Amino acid sequence: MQAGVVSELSFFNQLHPLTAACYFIELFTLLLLFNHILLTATMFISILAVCSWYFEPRKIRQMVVGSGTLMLMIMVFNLLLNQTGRHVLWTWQIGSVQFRLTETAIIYGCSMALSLGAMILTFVLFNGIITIPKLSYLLFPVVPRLAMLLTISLRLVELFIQKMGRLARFQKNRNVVLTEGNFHQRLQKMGQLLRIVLIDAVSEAMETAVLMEARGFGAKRRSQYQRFQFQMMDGAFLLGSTALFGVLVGRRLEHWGWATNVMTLQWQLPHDWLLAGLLIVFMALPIIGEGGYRVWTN
Amino acid sequence: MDELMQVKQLTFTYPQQTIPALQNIQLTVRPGDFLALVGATGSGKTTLLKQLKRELIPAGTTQGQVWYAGQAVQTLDQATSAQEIGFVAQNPQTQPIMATVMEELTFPLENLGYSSDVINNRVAELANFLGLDQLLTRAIKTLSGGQVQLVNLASVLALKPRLILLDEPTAQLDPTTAQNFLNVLRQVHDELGITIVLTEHRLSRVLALANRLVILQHGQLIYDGGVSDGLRKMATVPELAAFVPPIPNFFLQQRIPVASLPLSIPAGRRALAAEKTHFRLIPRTPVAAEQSSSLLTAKKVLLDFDQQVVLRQLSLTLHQGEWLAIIGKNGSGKSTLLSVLAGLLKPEHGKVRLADQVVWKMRNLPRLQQIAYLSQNPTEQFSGQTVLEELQAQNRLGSQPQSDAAVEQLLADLRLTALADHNVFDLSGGQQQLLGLGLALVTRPKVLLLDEPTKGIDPNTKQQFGQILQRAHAAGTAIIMASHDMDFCARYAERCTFMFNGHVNPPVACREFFTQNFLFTTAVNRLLADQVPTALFSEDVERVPTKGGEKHDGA
Repeated sequence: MQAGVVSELSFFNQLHPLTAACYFIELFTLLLLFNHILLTATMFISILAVCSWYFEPRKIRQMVVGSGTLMLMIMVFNLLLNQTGRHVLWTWQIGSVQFRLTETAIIYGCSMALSLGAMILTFVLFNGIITIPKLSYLLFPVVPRLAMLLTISLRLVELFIQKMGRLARFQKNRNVVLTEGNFHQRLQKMGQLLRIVLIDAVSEAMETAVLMEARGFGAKRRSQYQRFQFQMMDGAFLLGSTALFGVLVGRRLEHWGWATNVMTLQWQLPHDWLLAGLLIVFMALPIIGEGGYRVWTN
Repeated sequence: MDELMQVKQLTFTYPQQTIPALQNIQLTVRPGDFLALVGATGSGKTTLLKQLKRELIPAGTTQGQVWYAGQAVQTLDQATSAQEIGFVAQNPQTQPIMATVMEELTFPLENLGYSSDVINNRVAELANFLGLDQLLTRAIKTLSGGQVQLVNLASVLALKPRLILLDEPTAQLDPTTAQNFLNVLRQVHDELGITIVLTEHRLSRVLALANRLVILQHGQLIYDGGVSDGLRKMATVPELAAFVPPIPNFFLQQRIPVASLPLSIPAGRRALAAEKTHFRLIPRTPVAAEQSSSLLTAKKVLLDFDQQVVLRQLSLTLHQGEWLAIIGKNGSGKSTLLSVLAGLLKPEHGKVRLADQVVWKMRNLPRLQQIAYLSQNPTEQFSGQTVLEELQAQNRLGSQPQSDAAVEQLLADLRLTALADHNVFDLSGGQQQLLGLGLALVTRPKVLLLDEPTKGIDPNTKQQFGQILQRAHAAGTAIIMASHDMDFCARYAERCTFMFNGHVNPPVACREFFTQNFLFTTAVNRLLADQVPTALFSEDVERVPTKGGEKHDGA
């Protein structure tokens, strides 16, 4: 799922790739550290608000619909499979099979769904900030071959998707229609398209490889043209985010915001409100940065 | 040293082939040359071009040698080869490997380990020189074919090569974009002094840039010299006569005595004026246009991609047995319109009906039995079998499948019989285009939709393509073709229309259409605009006898 690249004029996009990467590592870690529903809901809503700041409303709608479907699925599975929870709200029996809708299942289902949703949205934001050149810049000094491989793979995936789209349209002229027939037939047709795309891709990839070699790929140790300057704002942002991250991790080590036993899950606990406040501040750091950046405008 | 590249008695044979692709080639490329390498499909010109750069040399048996600046090409180290000899391929989309224009330009420089400062300076200079500065941050996937080809050239230029090899670089571009690309190439040659060697089918624009013409036939070099004499030579070789561009061809056909054949409209007009040659239209009986009933109708079609309107309240009617050409630039929406007419795309508003049925509501099989479609890239309609198997499979989809003998006859008409057992992906571009046409015709459709049918094919294949279409049309198939090939449309279509800004003008008779246009028309029409404004081709006119009652007769 993608929503585009964050504007170059924004504070967040102007951060040094290392700063942005550290922030995202902290963010992803926090998403995994808490499972109390109030906290997962806070994280989901906060990250959605940050995304709404940076991306077009149309893209946000698409993202919400896309991730919402997955979240709903997680929710339903939890309700169906979690039958041993506390506070039975409703029961339903068919023959010997009994279905119990419990408060635990609802809380845990919501929490899981919100965690997943927040993770997807964070990944979309990550894609919008850490673009391929930045990722390549970060990886190049450590694993140059992986950096190049990543760049090439992403280009090929993009070509593959484009090609599949065109094939799906034009192969209708050969009576290969992905939307007609039963499941087995559709699967067969998809296999047929994949086969064509692979034959085509192999011959094109061979030619591309030759053209890469013709432009000196592999002749010498590669250099890296991208240069990013670590500025004062990077230092401040990194310091602020890491300090806040440290506080949140510290609280988590004291077992705040995490239920080890599903049965003990509740809608809210007294500590959760403080943690939620800290999480909101952490997730709003880029927006706070945007404010500071605008204040500094001449 | 006077020679940059020397090919000495080169003979090359592909694996498992008995006939050499190149035979005893002797060629010298001097610094500052702009050399056009010409020949029919299969003549060996791409094979020869690839012998000039070590990374591109195909597998096979080689006799003789190729020298670059006094060193055998095969022994050049990779860095020197990359640095000094650039290569631009035919398909613009094959070369780019990075995501953005900036990254693509820096790619070769990073490969050779240049420092960040050098890279930035080099890219800044190059982007401004080639007018790419506004595109630097753009993703490659968002560029047009012409822009991508320009980026490919820039990426090669970034290494400051001494020689650039180009394999039909404009074959996939529309005429305007191709002209822009060639203008840049002229600039690169004239202002930077870089030696250029390129192969090309469409010679009308390229030859004005070249100082040398090299002609290949069946793997042998049959001419190496000036452009004008080379064209005279080509006109005498049956398989190359169709390659002679319209303006010099006009002078040759009309036997106008000129020392050097003109290559452009102004040069042609000057030569006509100098010779005081006048022409008149050969009277022909006009074919009465019959207005038959409508077959395929599009009414108020509106379609957008990414909130950009591509088709804007478009209406169009195709009558029974009609042959309509839709002319327009790349990106004008022609391909989208054809996809909508074929029922492959559903517009937001409006209807397209075949008889009384809305095309995208029809079941796929009955739809393809009545409407055949050939896309710009025919390989997207192949299923990876042999030529014969593909045709047989498509034949079985027809409402009344033809006999095996009829399919084999179609194969013969397409001149693909010898390739019947070859995999479709192993065919040349022209052969794939012909097979695509065969797949479209084998079901004997009522309507045939062709998207840029002549793109990238040589003039001989184009003639063959036109003749097959004429037979299908005579058998009752109605045709719509979207193209920017003026000569092809003027020669074969009955009615023409112009597409721009998401809609089409009302179609008019082809001759009327082209004689009214002053930009989008044939070269001969532009040449004779002052004398015979209704002439489209050389055979439309004859010379007016001089006062003595005799025509001039050229050499």
